[in-house]
Amino acid sequence: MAGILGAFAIKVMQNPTTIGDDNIRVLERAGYSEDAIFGCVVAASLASGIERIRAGLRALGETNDVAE
Amino acid sequence: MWLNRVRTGHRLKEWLMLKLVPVVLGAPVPDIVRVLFYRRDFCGVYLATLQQRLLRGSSDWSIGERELFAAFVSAKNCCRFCIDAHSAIAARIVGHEVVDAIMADVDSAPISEPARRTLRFLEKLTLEPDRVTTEDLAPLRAVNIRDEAILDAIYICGTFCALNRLVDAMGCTPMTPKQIDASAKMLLEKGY
Repeated sequence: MAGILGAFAIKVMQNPTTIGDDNIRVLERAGYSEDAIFGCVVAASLASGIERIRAGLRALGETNDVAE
Repeated sequence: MWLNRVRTGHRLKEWLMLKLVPVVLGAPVPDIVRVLFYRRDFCGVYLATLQQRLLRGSSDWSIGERELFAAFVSAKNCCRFCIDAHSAIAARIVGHEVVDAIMADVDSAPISEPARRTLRFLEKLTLEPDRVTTEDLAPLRAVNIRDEAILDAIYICGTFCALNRLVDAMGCTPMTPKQIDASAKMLLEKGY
C-alpha cells in the first residue's frame, strides 16, 4: 500500500494515539470514503496484532503461523 | 470518534442493540461498542469472539491474570480506553492495589512469579516484537509455564495490540468512571 492511505496505515500501526480529525479530513479530501478509512484502520490494527503473534510463535518455535 | 458513519451509520439490528445498551449497562454506550457494531460482520463479531475465547475460555491463567495481561499490554501501548476498561475488570478480581502495583512496577508487584515473568515477556513482545527470541522464553520455562499458557499470553498480546490501535485510531473517547464501572461489571458477569 503506497501513498496517502499507506502513510495513514503506518501511522495507525506506529502512532495510533496521535491520529486526529485532521488526518481523517486529509484522506477524505483525497477521495477516500469513511468505509475505506475504516477498512484501512481495521487492516492496519490487525496487522500490528498479527506481527506480535508471529513474533511470539517464532520464539515459541511453533511452525504453524496463524497469519498465513 | 472521527468517522460519522461509525458513530451513527449502523444497520437496523445493531442500531436497535445500541439503543438497548444504555438500558442494560446503566450508562451511556462506550465508543468501542459503536466501533465493534459498525459493519459488525466485518470485524466486530470476530474480535468479540476472540476476546471471549482468550479472556474467558479455558486456560492455565485465571481470568484475573488474563485481564491483567490485557490491561498491561494496553498500558504499554498507551491506550487509555483499554487500560481503564481492563484494569477495572482485573481490579474486581485481584484488587485495585495489585493492578496499581503492576502498572507502577512489575518487578515489585505482589503477583505470582509466572505472571511476573510473563508480563516482562509481553512488554518486549508489545514494544519490540522484532527483537523477541527463544531466549526471552527461558525465564518463563524455568518456572514451568506450559507452552499452551505462553501461547495464550501471546494471543492476548496480539489481540490487544490490534484492539488498542483500533480504539485509538477511531478516536474512541475514554470512558467516564460510571461507564468503566458498569462495563467492568457487565463484561465480568456476561462476557464479551
